[in-house]
Formats: sequence, C-alpha cells, structure tokens
Amino acid sequence: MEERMFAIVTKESVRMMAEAAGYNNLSEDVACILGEDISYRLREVVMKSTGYMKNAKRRRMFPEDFNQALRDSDVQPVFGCGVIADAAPFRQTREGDVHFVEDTDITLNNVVYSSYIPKHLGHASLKAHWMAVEGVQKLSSSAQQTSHGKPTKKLEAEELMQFYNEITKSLVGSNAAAVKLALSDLSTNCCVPALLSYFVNFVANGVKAVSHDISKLTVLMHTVDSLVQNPTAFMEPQPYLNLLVQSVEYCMLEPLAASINPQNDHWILRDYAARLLAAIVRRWNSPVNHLHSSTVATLSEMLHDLSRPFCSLYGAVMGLISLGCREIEEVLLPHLPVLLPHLVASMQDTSRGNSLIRADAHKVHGIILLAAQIVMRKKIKQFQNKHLPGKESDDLHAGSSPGSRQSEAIGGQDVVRLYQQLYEYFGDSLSFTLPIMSLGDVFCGHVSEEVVNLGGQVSEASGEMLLADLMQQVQQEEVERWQQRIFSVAHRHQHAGHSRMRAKQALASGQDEEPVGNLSEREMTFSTHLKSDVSDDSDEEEHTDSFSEQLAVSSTISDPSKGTLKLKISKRQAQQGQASPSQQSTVQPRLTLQINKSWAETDRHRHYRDTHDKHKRKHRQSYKSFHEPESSELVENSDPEEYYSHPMSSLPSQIYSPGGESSGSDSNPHKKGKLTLKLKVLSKESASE
Amino acid sequence: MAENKAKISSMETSQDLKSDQNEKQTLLAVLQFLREHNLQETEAILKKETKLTDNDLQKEKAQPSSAVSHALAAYKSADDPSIYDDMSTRLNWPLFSTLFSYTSVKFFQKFSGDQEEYYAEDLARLAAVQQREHMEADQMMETFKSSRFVIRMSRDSYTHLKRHLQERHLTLLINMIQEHLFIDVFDGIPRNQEQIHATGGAMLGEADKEANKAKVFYGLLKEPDLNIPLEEEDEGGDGDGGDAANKSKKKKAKKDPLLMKKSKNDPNAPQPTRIPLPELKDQDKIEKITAYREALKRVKLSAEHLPSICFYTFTNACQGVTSVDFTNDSSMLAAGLQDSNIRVWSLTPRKLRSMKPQSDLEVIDKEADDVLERMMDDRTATETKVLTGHSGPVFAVSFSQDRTSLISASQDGTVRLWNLLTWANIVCYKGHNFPVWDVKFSPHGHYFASGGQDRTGRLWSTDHYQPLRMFVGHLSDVDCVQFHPNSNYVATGSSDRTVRLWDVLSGSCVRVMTGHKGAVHCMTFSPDGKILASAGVDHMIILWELASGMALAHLKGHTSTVYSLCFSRDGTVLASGGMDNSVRLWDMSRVIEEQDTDTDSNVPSSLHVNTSPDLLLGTYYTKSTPVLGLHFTRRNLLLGCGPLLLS
Repeated sequence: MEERMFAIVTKESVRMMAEAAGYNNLSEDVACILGEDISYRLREVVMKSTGYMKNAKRRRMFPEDFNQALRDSDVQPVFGCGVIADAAPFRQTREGDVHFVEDTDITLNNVVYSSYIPKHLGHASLKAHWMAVEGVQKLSSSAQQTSHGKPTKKLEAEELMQFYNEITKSLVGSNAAAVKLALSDLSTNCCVPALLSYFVNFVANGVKAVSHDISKLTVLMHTVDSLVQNPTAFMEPQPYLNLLVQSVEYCMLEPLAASINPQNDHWILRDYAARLLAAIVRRWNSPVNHLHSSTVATLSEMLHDLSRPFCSLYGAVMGLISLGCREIEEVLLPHLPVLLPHLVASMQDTSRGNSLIRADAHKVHGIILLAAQIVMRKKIKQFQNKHLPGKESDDLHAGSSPGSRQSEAIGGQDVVRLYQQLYEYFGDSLSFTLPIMSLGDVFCGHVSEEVVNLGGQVSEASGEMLLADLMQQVQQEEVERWQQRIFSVAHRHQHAGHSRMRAKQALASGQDEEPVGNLSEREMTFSTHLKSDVSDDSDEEEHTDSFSEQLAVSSTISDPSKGTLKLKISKRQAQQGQASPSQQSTVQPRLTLQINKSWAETDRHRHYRDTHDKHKRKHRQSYKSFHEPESSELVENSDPEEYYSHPMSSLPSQIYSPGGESSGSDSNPHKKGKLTLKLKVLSKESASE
Repeated sequence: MAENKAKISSMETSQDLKSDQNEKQTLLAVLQFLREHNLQETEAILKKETKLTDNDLQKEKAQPSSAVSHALAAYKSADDPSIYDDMSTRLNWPLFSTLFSYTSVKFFQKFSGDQEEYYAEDLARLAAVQQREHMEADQMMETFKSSRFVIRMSRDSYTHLKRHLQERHLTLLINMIQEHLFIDVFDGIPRNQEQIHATGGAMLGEADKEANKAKVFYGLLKEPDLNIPLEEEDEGGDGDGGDAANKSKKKKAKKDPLLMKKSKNDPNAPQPTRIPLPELKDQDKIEKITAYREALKRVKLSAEHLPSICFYTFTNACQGVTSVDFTNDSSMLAAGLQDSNIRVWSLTPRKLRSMKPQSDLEVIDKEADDVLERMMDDRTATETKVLTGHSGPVFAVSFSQDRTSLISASQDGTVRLWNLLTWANIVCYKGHNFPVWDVKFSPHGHYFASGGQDRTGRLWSTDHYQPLRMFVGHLSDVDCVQFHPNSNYVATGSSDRTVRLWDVLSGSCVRVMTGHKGAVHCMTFSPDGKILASAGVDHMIILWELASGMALAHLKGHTSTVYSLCFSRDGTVLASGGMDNSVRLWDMSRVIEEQDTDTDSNVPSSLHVNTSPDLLLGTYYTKSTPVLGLHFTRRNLLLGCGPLLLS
C-alpha cells in the first residue's frame, strides 16, 4: 500500500495554516501530530460522505455529501462550494506548492439586480420510451460500443480518426479516383455518425478556405452529398444540419473568389449546390428544426437584397427552383416587380465596364425565366387537371353546361392573369417551354374572338388581294382585341379551286356568324395536310351549333410579296366516339391566330390551336408561332425554322389572352405527334403540298 | 502482545502458500523476539513497543530468519495442500484484522498485500487509522475488537490446525484464536477454494451453523377465499386470512400456480394469524379481484419470451433523484429527491387529484357507490404532485398496497407517512437519530420497516409512533430492507456485506447469509417466497434459498453497483438495473431447474453455487441513465426508471 494513499496534510501545510490563523511559532512536533490527526479526520469524513453518495445512488460526490458528513461529526460545514458538484477552480501560486481558490469580491448589487434570467430552465419531468419490445431493443451504435466496455471504444476512436484523416486527405487531393472512392465510402460507411462532427467541421471550414477553387468546392459539395446520403448518419438533432446547410448555401449564394474570373464556371457549382440544398431540406426538414422555412427565409432575404451581386441572386433563384414550385410562387413572383427592372437596367447598361455584370444579369434573367415557366406550366397543368377531368379518356365532351363553363372560365382567369403578368416581363420567351392547352371542348372563352369565316374557293390569283384585305382587317382586329380564336376547320388540302375552308365561328365572340362558305373577302389559302383517310365527305358536314368546341379559323394573310401564307390545318380524325353525333366530322382543330401588326410586312404567322386528336388531348395554346403536331399520323411537320425565325423580342405588347384558357406555348412543336396547324409562309413559287 | 503479533505473522506466513523471503525474515525475527521474552511480559512490552518508532520495530524484526523458515518448510511439506488451502486464506484476514489494533503501520504494509481482494474496502479503512487514539475511536476497529470473527472449518482441518499450533508451541496464537475468532467446526469434507470464496466476504466472517438453523416459514399466506367468479359479479369472500377452511365455491380454472395453493395447507407457510394483519376492507377485496383478473391476462415470460420494457426517464433532475418506487398496480411513480422533496407522478391518463375540502365533503352522499370518486376534487387534478416536509435528501420512498399512503425516509433521521388522498404529511416517525437509508411498506399494509446508519432495522406500524421491533445485529449501516411476501419476515442488507432475515414475531435473526463482497443495496423476494435476491456494490446478484440459507446462484454481468431488482410476476425472470446504465434479465426458471437438490445446510461442502453465464437473458442499455427502479406490472410488462445524467 502506498504511502500517500490518502490525503496527508504535511507539516508545512499545517504550519502555513497556523500562520494564517495567527499562530506563528508552531513547533515541528506539534505540526506533525496535527498533520496526522487532520489527515485521519479527513479520511473519516470522506468515508462517511461516500456513504451518503452511495445511498443517494450516485457516483459523484457532492459538496453536500461532504457537508453532511461534517455536520454528523459536529463540525461546521464548509460554505460556498455549491450543492451540486461544480469543479472548484483551484489556482496555483507561482511557486506551485500552494493551491487556492480565488476569493473575488462580488458586488451584490450586480448579482441581485442583474436582468440575466437563464433560459431553458427545465422542470423535472418524466419521459417514457420503449426500451425493448418483447426483448428486442432498437440498436444504437453507442449502446453497442459501450457494451464492450471502454477499452474497445478507445481503440476505435483511434481508428476512426485515422479514417477521418484518410478521407479528408483524399478529398482535397488531386487523385480523382481517390476522391471518388472517398465519396462512395462516405455515403455508405457506418462509422460516419461517430465522425459526423468532424466531417461537418471539415466541410464548413473547407468552403471558406477554398472559395477560390471551384473544383475543390465541388468536391466539398459532393462530400456533403455523400454525407446526406449516408443512411446511418443522423443529423437532425445536432447543429450539424445547420452547419451543412450553411456551407451549401455559401457555395450557392456567395460571390466566390473564384467567380471573379469569368472563365471559372461557378454556375454549375451553384446549380449543384441548389439541388443539394433542396435534397437536404427535403430529407431533414421537420417541424422541430424548421429547416425548410429557414432556408426559404434565407433565400428570400438574399433575393430582396438588391445590392448583392448577381451570382447571389442566381443562386437564390436556383435554390428556390430546386425547392419547388410553391416556393417560387410564394417568394419569387411577388418580388419580380422589383427585381426585374433592376435586372433589366443592368442588362441594358451596355457600358464596357459593365459587361461582366451584364453577363451575370443575363444569367439571372434566364433563371428567373425558367422559374416563371415552371410556375406557368404547373398552373396550366393544374387548370387542365381541374377542368378537364376526362382528358385521359378520349372523351370529347359534347359540351359542358354553361355554368361549369363559367366557373372554369373563372379558374382559368387566374392562370391567364399570371400569364399576363409574366408575359409583361418576359414576353414570348415565356411560352417557349409551355404546353399548349386546348380547351376547345370544355371551355370557350367568353371574350370575343375574332372570327373570320372562310369558305368557298379561293383562287390563287385572288390570293394577294385577299391577303391585302385580310391584312387590313387583321390590323383592325388587332387594334380592337385579340382573343383566342377557336377554329374548327374542316378543310381539305388546298388545291387550286378545291380548297375551301370551313370556318366556324367561335362562340361568345359576339360577332356574327358568317355562314360557311361565305368567304368573300376573306378567302384564304390554306394548305392543309390531311391524312389520307380524311374524306371529303366529312368536310362537308356542317357543324351546327356546337361550334363552341370547334375552332374557327382565323384569317390568314398572305402577302403576295412574301408568298402565300399557307395555313396548314390538319384534320383530326373523327374518331372521338363520344363525340356527339353532330360532331362526326373529323377534324376539330383549334387554332388561334395572332397576327402581329408589326409583322405585317414581314411574315404573317398564324397560330392555330388544334384540338388534339383521338389520342391526346393536349391542350395548348400558342400565342406565338409554335404549335405542336398533335398526332403523328395526321400531320407531317414542316420544318420548324420558319416558325422560330422571328425574334422573340419583337413581340407585341398586347397579350393575346383567350380569356381563360391561356397558357404558354409549347416548346417543341415537334415533340408529340399531334394535330398541328402549321403556318407556313410559302413563296409564291412553292406549290401546294 | 508482541508474541501475539509474532505468532500471528508466523501463522499467516506459514499458511500462505506464496510467502516470500521478506515475510520469512520477519517471521524469524518475530520468533526470535518471542524467545527472548517471557510470555507474561508481552503485553506490557508490546504496549511500549507500539509507542516506539517504526525503526525500532524494524530492527527487531530483522534478525532471526532461519528458525522461521525451518518451521515454515516443515509445515509446508507436512500438509496436504487441500487442507492447506482451506485454512490459509481464511485465517489470514481475520487474524490480520483483529490484530491490527496491536500492530503498526509497518505490519500493515507488510501483510496487507496478502489479503484477499474483497477485503479491500476494509483494508482501506484500516489504512486510514494510524494512531492509537484513532484506533480506539474508529468504529470498525471497535467492531473487530468486540466481535468475533467466524470461520467455518471442517473437523479435519481444525484438528490439523490445532495440532500444528501445539507442536510449535504457539500457545499464544491459540489463545488469540480462542479469544477473537470463532471457529465453527463441522463434520464433513472440507470445502474447496471456490466454496469458501462464495461464502466469504462479510466483515466478520461467515454465519455459524446455529445462525441458519431456525425454521423459516417462507410460504405464502393463504389467500382469503374471495370467490372470484369470471363473471362480473363480485361476491365478497368470507373474511380475511383467518379462515382456515377452504370449501371451494364455484372456482374456475386457476391459471396462476400460486393461487393453486389456496386450497392446500402449505407446511412452509406461516399461520395466517401468526402476526396480526389488518382485516380486508371491501375496497381491498375489490382490489384483489382486480389484481386476480389482471393476473389472468399476464404474459408468460421465459427465456424465449422476454418482456417488453418501458423506461421512464427523469429529465432536468440535476442529479437529484435518490430513490424511486412504483405502486403495485403501476399507476403511480414516486421519486425522492436530493433537495428533500418527493414527487409523485401519475403513469396512467388519470390525473392525481386531491380530496375535497371538508365543507364539500359534508355535502356528498356517503351511501353512494362511487363515494370514493366523489370525494376527490377534480379541480386539483394534476399530473404530478410535490410533497415537502423532509429536511434532508430523501433516500427511500415506498407506496402502501392500497395506494393511499406513501412512506419516505430521509437523511434527517425521520420517516414520514404521507396520505395520497390529501397529499399531506400525516405522521413523522422519529426513531433513528441517524440517516435512514431505506424504508418499505409491508405487502399487507399497516407495517413498515426501516434501516439506517445506526446499524439497526426497525419494524413500525402506522398507528404507533415507536417501533415495534428492533433488528439489531448488523455490524455496519443497514442499507436496505425488504418484507417477505407473507409479511412475517424482514430481510436487511448491510454495509457489513451480510444479508440477515429477521422474524417479525420475535424480532430475532433467523438467517445470516454471507457471500457478498460489497455493501448490499437492494433485495427482493421471489413471488413464491422461496428465494431472496440481493445485490449491491460488488456488481453481483446472489440468489439465496431461504429454507437453507445457502446461496443458489451468483449472477455476474453488471459492471457497476446494482441498485434495483425485481422478479417477474410468475417468478421466471429477474430484472436488475444499476449504475452501468443497463437493465439485465436473468433466467430464474433455469436456476430452479438446475438447483442442486443435494445441498444440505448441514454439509457445507455440498454447496453448489450456479455461476453459469447462460443465466443472463439480455442486456438493455440506456444512454446515460442509471436504472434506479424496476417494476413488473401485473401483466408482466417491465417498467424501469432513472434520472438522466448528463455528466
């Protein structure tokens, strides 16, 4: 047994204590005896207080235990040490042989009147949980580790640190294969949870440290991705989530040092970071950590701060896009009136020094456009889903009741309004990617539509005349209003003298219906592509009253100088069985036409909206020159260049709103095989198809 | 005295297989010293010598070595190793300890290393004592001086020892042994090392054979015939357990084997009138019927069907929870806190309500069926109630069977009775003047037992302000008390590492069970009353068979002090929890199966202690919550609770 198994109060200490008490001349023997006695009493008291500790079912001795033991021995307790164990802060004198506790003077006033109220004062409460169900405990790694006792854990700690070091080294290194391996390991290894704090720290510091190096930043983002994907890493309750999200946001939003050099493609990094952020939020959002709402708040704050460089705005918008359509709607769209002018101002500032910023501004504009398109698309889809429940089945609604039509109209109004709003900012480019809605059978805009009756034979020779007339008229119409035209055209392929158009007048246009065939001044030349099986007979049929579902062909203008404007209308096969008997006729293409006044000299575009064929009811609406072929069987697409050849920027300020069924135009006219009505400007020489 | 010392040392070393050169030398020195002095003078001389400095003693010890070594060698070669083993280790400690008072620091340092490891605690305490004055004042030293250390030895070993001592004329040693040790001789084969180790460890040796001879009525009391029909009707039984006749009325198939014994006379069961028990009120009968019905629905536990465990964690307790208790029907949980409060929680959706004030009580109709419900004031319904009254940490709480009372024990030396209808302190029992470490209500109500730092256990009844019985016999603090299911016996566990069973009727100690190597902190009886399980600081759970007082099994597995034990309702699984943040389940049915039926308390060598590691059925960890309380519900769902420790 060692000499110093217990505390031994030495002679020197006794002497010092005596001096402090005022007894300066303590002889050695006395000090010795006193020392021994003190040591013994101390041990005795400690023995007693261990008794208190054990019966209080603790492993730590409290000052209260000691004081209680002192009281039991009729000794005054020691005050000032607290009841529950606070580590007594001993300090050493310079010589090091005396340890003392600082005895500072405290101004009671400060203590008493301090306004500091500790938060999170917990009340003793009871919490229940299932430790085991029928003898089976949900395993947690910490429990497993401790079951093997401390030594194993220590060992593992070393190995874990090694693992951490290896991974981080390979991540910042230049060996791509090593990086890949490290990332894949991170996403599957189950010792990651133990090292989570280290990895999060690594990422958080890393993004700040290497903000000049895009590739390293990318690697760090990939690291975050792997960490998030790791099924064993549980990040929710700790601050890891916040740190990780902050790091990702840093990459996404900050004007990185690297972005000064325009050769560095930091945009891709931002895109990736935005997607990653969305993934993290989606996975780890909970009512507890409010991750989603705080992220959205950060992004919107970023948006509202117009002094930020454009790359931050880009990142913020990208983030919103990744998070989802709703966020775009809620955050971005209301802010557009402020943001876009700022953007446009920057874009139009063509001074030399501004070129970089301008480029950035263009990027931002583009991304906002994308966001707007996404929103529009969603709205269209919603509207379609809501109002055309039968669209999957090839139901041709004979006609909905007027009442429902009204409500649909109203619902459609929101979509239209939104479109109008967005159109103001973006113009035609908005509808670049939007689907074309066809609502011919459900809805008919109650706003007046321009209807032009076509019919009769049109000779080539009178084409130019017709065109000129039409041009006038169109100009007039344009001045008045443009709305969606609904066409139903039964027509045949244009041949000299054989073509005839049948135009039906759209409903609610308020215009007089011109009887079919009454193509006086408005003869048009249409070239249609019809399927071979479309018979003439069907053309003859008249659609009497249910015109509302049908399209009325709008006027075409053919400019003799540029050639005949050919209107290609494809016929839809009359295979909608559900169609009302009166609608046996085949084609119910729907067309809307918009003629741009400013284009009158150049090209005329006619936009037609077709109702879809038997297969699909793709409702689209194109205000511009894009339309989709609806069915491959029915139509052959002509080359699209002509449709795209006109700059989007020179768009009319008027918005062609068909009163409810508006949506953007489709992106790719050749996407699906559908009925299309294509407008082609043919040169004079070009013959009919 | 010096001779004693010398002889002791010689005894020790001669009997220690591993005696090294140093000790031989010391022994020689001592022997030589002995030869130089006369016996009569030894006392005076030793007294003088203890006042001498260490150096003198050292000098004297150094000289003679050869004689001792000869004696040693002779002794070694002559003896049969088995017997040698038997005696060597066991005499070592007692002689050391009892003679410590006569020795010096050097002596201690030389021989303390030879002692068994489980005496480390006592050794530590002895080490603290270095001056004569201190020795006289020290409690432990006093114990050693005043009481006799008991060693059980086979007759062969004993004769051998005697012969050896006489041959070497170590008469003083013989005297010493006679004075301070008690060698209990039994006829039969000497025990082996394992068996000795199993029963060793108590502060003053083992129990002598007379200690465990008394008959213990460990059976259960006959349940009152309550006529528990399976239909909803509720027929009152014919009185309480005073009725010996058991005409079976319309009984159904009793699924509970415990209840099977109702109709038979258990020879091991005490008479129902052996101790006066309160009569069953109507409420109690209803309670019993409910309990029986619940018992029918309970899950059968076994090694294949382990229980589900629901754990209650005390959060924000600031390391202040010092004791917990569950009610029998698992509806309430009480916790005694370091800051001298007691908190009671309701574990069911039903909240805790207080009784209406007197003015309201007068108005209610006393004849109504639900008068007990009407009594309670719903406005005061809360999930938890705080009981304030003690002036020191509350070290134990215990609910009564009828859930109307709570008893608590505290460091201030008082035991307080609280009423759970009015949530007020009713009585304060002042008997212990020292901290009371444990208190428990009897399973039949009315009686409670307490144990404290004053080394006594006391039996009280709620209507007397002074204890009915005092259980005196322990050599150190009584750390825990527990009633037998038949309320006729009280078990106490102590810091002197023994477990004693006391008869309530006479107050005498009927069993002394040794084997723990550390203070005993918790005990529990099996539901059939045959087995007592105890556990404590030595991380070990020992199962005792009450009939013989012998150990059935040593359950090893915990890595820290065990503070809670609970048998399942059918006695097949034992749950234990402790400071190592784990709940462990042990297979009791296997222990009973593997029980060696040949053990006979008269033949100590037949002791077979089951230490198989297969008895551990499962370990369940909490994150950092020591398990302070365990309780099996009537349906065999295990509830545990403990405070969350964040440091």
